[in-house]
Amino acid sequence: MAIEPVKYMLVYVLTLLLAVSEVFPLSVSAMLGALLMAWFGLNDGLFTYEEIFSFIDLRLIALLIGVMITVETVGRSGLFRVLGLYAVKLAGGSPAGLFVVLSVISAATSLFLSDAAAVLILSATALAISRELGYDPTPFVVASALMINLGGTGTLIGSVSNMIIGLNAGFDFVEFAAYLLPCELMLWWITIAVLYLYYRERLRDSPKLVEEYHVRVENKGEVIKAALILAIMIGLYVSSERLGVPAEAIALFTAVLALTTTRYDPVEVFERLDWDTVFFVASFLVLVRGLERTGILQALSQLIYEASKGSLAYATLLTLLVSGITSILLANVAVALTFVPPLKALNLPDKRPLWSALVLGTNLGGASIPVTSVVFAMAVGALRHEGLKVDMGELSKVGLLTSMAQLAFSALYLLAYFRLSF
Amino acid sequence: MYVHVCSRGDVMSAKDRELKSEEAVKGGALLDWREELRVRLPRAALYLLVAIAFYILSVIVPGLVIGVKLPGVLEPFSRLDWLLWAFLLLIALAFGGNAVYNLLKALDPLLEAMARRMGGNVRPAKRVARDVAYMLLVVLVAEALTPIAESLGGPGQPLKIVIGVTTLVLLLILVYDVGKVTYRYIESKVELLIKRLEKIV
Repeated sequence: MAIEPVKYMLVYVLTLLLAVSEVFPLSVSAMLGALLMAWFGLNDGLFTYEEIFSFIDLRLIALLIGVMITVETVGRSGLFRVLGLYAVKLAGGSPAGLFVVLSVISAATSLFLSDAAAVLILSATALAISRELGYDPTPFVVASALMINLGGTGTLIGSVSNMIIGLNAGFDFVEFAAYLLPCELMLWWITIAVLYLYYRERLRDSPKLVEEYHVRVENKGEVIKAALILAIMIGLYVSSERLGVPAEAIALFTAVLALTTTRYDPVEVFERLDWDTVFFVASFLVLVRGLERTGILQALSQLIYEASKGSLAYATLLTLLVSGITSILLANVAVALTFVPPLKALNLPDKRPLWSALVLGTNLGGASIPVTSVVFAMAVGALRHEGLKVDMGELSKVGLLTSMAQLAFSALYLLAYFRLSF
Repeated sequence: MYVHVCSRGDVMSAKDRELKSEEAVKGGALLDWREELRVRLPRAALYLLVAIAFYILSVIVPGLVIGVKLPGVLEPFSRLDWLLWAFLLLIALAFGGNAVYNLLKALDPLLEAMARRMGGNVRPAKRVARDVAYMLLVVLVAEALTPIAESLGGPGQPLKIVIGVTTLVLLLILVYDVGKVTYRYIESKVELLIKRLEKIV
């Protein structure tokens, strides 16, 4: 039977439209897309029933769930909140100092915590402190959200899209960090500088005293235990190549370690996991792998190759630009899953710059406008909950400005780091 | 007392209008929709019947006057049968248009109720995106159901027609909604521009 690629392309477009227009949650949109893809694929003889299940990358799902369990258990101890409060105390009472410290803490927290959890903790901290000291909370909350989006760009377990790209590229934890962590750290300061310049008028309040601010740790034992688990996880990831243990095995090991050594109810921990993302990834994998069978993604790969005229530098910049712009509108996990097959199929000897560009594009485009970014939307919600009037146009301007600055710097970084020439 | 002329041509006082809108809010979209259907459907049916009647007349009557010609007039305007056919068909089309208009008006509250059900008042861009998503969904579900209908053999043929007609109707409703939302959006922008220009003048 003749395959009609248009039909499969429409299923893909439908899934994205359902998710973007919020008809269904991400997971349900992808499940519906996967269902239609499976139905059409089976009817057209594109793949067999057994093959559909092989489309779901169990290694990726194991890595996702393992990291989620570990992070959820560690987060429950209050470790990140305690660290945040100590750092804020260290910053003193200057609004500008507080702005910089809170921004750095937000990005650092996001290296280990999921973005949604980090926004919840950091925006609550920023609001409480700015309320206490009488500062305008908007710059602190917005900076916190943007830095949380940026945080984790340089590590394999920093975001779901990183795990997808890292596993497909064959990068281990150290290799991934070697290519991208320096860029992330530089981007921290560039983003803080852009945001500070934008908000400088609103950060000119006279410093207030924060001596009376006390950090009280209620469950010291749990906090120490959480810090240890985190340290073990990072230690294992760093030495994963030497040990010959894959990332997903480490994630599952630390998840079991966290569940057995802490006293949290595992059922509660499981309930709090981001199942929406897990189901979205599993279903979207079926969708993308199905699409791959039609030859559409290979055509896209050919298009990238032709547009870049075989030059690695052009292909890298093109990947960065296209993935960055599409991530402004679409979930970055969807962008990562869509770009992986065409990049894999590209006929270039060294694909490390391309994978790195995809990581940067999917991460940095993710928090440009409040309407399509989860972290940004949560920050807006926190400000509104505080009774503040939120100007969405202004927030979009800040988001787009920082994203553009980040993408421009990333382009220069990739060219310099991988010594790419045109 | 100020009076407003409704789209139906009735005259309604401002207070009546206020009461009606309050009622609509209290009773919800369903009540609104039923009220609209109660008024619009009989009108649409009547207009449709008249349109069909005139169409039938346009087929039969010209046959009775074949050969009668008006002197000094160019073909085909000189032929009485052609003139009668064109005249009757024009009337049939006018009534048919009215029937379609009433049907579309009856659809408005239903579409609003559907939109509310699908997530309340959303921005026009999001509503259009949702409509396009539903259009794609309708087409793809129809495409997915067709092989099932075909596999049924005999009863599959009418089922295929039902699937096709349902798809077409749903698509028309969604296209109409896209058109309406876009029109309202552009209209509001134009009005805003006119107000600004008025201020400048």
